Amino acid sequence: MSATPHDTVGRDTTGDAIPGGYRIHMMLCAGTDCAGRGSYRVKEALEREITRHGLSHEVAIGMSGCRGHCGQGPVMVVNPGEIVYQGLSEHDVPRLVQEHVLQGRPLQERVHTLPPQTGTVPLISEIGFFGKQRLLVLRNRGIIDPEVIDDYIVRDGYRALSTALSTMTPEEVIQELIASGLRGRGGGGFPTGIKWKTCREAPGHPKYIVCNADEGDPGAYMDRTIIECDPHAVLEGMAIAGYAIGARKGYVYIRNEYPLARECLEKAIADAREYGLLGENIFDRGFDFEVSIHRGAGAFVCGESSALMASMEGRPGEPRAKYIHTVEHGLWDRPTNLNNVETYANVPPIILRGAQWFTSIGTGDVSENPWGGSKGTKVFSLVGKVHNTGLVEVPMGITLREIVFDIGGGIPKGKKFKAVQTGGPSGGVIPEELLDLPVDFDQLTRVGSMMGSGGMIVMDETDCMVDIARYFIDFLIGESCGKCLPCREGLTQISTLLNDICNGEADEHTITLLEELSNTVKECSLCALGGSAPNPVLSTLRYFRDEYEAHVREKRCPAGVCKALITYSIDPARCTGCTLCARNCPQDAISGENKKPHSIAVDLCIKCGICRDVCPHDAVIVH
Amino acid sequence: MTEVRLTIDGRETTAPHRSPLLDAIRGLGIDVPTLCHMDGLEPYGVCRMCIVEVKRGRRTRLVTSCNFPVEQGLEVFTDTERIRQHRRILAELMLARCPDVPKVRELAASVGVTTSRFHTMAASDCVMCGLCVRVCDEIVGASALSFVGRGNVRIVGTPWSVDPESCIACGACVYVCPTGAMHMEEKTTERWRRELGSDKRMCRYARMGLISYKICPNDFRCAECEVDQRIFEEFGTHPILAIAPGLRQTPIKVGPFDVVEDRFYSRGHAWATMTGDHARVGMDDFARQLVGPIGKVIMHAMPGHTIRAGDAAATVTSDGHSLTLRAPVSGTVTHVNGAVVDDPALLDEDCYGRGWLFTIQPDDFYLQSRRLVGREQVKAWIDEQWQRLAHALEAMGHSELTPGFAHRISHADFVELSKEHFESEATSP
Repeated sequence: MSATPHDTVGRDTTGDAIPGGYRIHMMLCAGTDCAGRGSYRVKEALEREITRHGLSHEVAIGMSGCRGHCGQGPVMVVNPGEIVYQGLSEHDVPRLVQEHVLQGRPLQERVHTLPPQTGTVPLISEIGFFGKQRLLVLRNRGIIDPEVIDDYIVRDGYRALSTALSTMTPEEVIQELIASGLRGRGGGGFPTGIKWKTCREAPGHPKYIVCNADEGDPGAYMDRTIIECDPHAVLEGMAIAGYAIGARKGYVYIRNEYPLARECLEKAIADAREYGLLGENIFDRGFDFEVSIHRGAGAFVCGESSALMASMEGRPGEPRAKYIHTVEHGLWDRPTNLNNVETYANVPPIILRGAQWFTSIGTGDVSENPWGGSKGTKVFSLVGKVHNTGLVEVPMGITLREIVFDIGGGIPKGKKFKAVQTGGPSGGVIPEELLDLPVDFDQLTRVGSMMGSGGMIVMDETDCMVDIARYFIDFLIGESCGKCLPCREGLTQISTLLNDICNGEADEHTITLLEELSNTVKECSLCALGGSAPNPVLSTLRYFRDEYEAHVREKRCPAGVCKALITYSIDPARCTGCTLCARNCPQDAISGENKKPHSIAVDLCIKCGICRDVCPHDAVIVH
Repeated sequence: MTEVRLTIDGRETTAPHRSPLLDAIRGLGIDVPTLCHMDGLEPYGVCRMCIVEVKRGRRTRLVTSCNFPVEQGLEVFTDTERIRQHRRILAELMLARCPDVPKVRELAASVGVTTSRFHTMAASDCVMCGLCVRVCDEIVGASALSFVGRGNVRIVGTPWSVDPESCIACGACVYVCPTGAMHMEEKTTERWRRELGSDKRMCRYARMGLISYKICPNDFRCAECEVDQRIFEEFGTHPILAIAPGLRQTPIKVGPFDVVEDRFYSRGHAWATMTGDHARVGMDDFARQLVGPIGKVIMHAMPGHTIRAGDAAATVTSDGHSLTLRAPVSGTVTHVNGAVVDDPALLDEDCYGRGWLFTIQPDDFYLQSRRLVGREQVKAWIDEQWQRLAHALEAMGHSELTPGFAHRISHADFVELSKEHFESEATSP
């Protein structure tokens, strides 16, 4: 995080690169989240303000990819000084220019400060959210402008491709990948080098490289961010894969809900082609490689390899049995190498810095067995009940506690941590007693969850685990393709059983049946969507069985979430009679005189929880 | 096709490499319940009832036998407690969806389930096996049906839910539906009645390509039609299933020869099968084995040529001998199989499948097919051919028919044999 290309290559506000010269570099985040919060309006205001002061040759304003601190956008980093501004709006701009640019001191009220307030302005590396991260895949995040290919090249971009093409045979590239122990970041964790090798050796031509950017997990946006901050890294990884496998054509399957990422990628492909880094005879080594974009139509199941390929061929996005693998019979029945965005983005640094360097990060030993450990880093999207929601890249082997408390900053409102869901909707929950678990592929699988593509949802004591399981199952019901019986019928029935439990209409047999059914859906489904769909149920049953039992035996929801099992009342000892609850109750179910304790009419109450949210004295109690 | 060894429930057996495991299991007389499976259709693997446990090395996994490819050294278990448990749950799920369908009740009962512990939400007759959609696509070639929607609201319907132009009202979907959920609607035929002139109202067998031209005299009321009844009776099944497509059935053995019963054979050992309005033609296993490992295929039939039944269509050569195959039906040649010309070994590997020779648009296949050997007679006919060949070989001093035996007999003897069996003069290179 020290030297940036902008120290040597500046750019004026028209976008033309000029050598040297700028005194201050401002990099505003242009990721989907910050853009949605108005970073482009801030940029325009900054440009106007800087021009007004006649400083456009001293201050460079650039747009970068996401820095991951998405809960606090728009975020801007100003160099020199590594000063992080957050929550900016165009109204802050005149004072920001006045203070930072003219007076030479940070604008205090918008710099990132650690809770509790320390009074000093932290550097990026001192902020917990950034400090514990290890940036490999996101090495260029916030530093380069993703739409400027020169920025990428200055940061050693395309040097890995040139190295591979001019000094390595395809077999050597594959060997390096195998030795690195890189495992697929899309969820399966299959060793990438082994996959490439199988694909290279599979009979049939032509071969295809496909990049899976059909990220569909709720709350997860790793792939989108990687493409939005560093699209060339993905393209370079794909080109290296093409060289290693013997393919001349690559496709990026990207979901249409990611317009910004798609545009970014389109521009990157056009630029790379113009520079001769894609196209024919790359680096004059007789290697041709083209990349096209295929837009997905918004089906979660299309992230599954055979469904993805069916969709690319123009057929309905439904999986087929994969007893014959897609590396041998994939797209149009040809050998096809499918990797996820993050996997490809890992490839250039491995080629440049070597497998040995890569294996120094992470867990286990992969020198004998590529399944022997988890190497490198993993990008997670950290969401839910944590202070710092956002995108983080951490070394494999870091503990969940470090991610949730050090990087995430702990649970807001002083609530108690309950569990963290990893692996997206088909992953599982991990309880507090396993917080010191080192995060890697095998450890997460061992405890009944999975790495998945990297979603991480933190839950606190006010989350009911039965309700959480029901939420994920309902998501998957809507996303199941409906082809095979266990997934189509089974998930619907699981949801019904969970509803019964949440509504207090279940008994002990319901839990047994739920368990039996979940096992059948897990073992008998046609594809990995159905195969992993019951994980939220099975893992909550494993770690929070007492909550299920409280629902069926005592007809009680310990977290106070399941409406049929709770009642709201007002603690007269705490109630000050401020009338706030009565005024906000949509049902007029709360009555009471001013300055005297109020009460809730149970028959009118719809248990919406608004009274509890508005009460300044925590006087509303849930039973 | 190489044979591999495997054990099923402790019994040793062999099966062709990568053939469906279900065939090998049923070959041993072991029953595995299925619902969405039908011989002749690509395995679909959605009802999951045919699950078995497969052990390879130390790893045991659960697979659907209908589409799992056989490999050397597999250990297969078809009836473990784990499998029974899953089948019971699957049957309960099916029952919850289709509580009143006899076929589903019967299947559930076969795995010991009579009632479902799950709620019946919206009872339906359709169990979503997809047989109708697949038969329409793979066999009829019309693709008039499809799945609509996804997840638990997925249904079988027509594209855009309109009366599909591509439906030929053949009724194959209704015929294959195991639950009786599929019904013929009169929409298509009504439209034809309205729109088509009296000279364009084609009989459904003409629309299937089984007969070249016949005007329907019955206003498309097939149930009242004599022709329809006769054809149905003759085939013993829906005619499109019997006569049409590359129904890839498992070959049966007659003596040393593979025979597939789903097609027609000429006396000159050419086979023909209808796919849409084309007949596909190839050489049978008897001819293949007689001539020996095939080194070269010379195609006389050329696309666009009109050819008569009995005309020379292709010559296959195995060093020393050659044999001319004659067209089984008359018509216009539409395609020749370039792959088999480039790689004649395809004939030895799969003479009923990828080793096909050419396609032809026949003049009235139904009429012509009556001169060919059909599914009822083919076993007897090949058996009779085999007896004659065995006698002749014995007379020539060969007792066994082993691959490449043709090379060990003199040219004069080969000419003699081929005359006998192919009604054609064998030529010498």
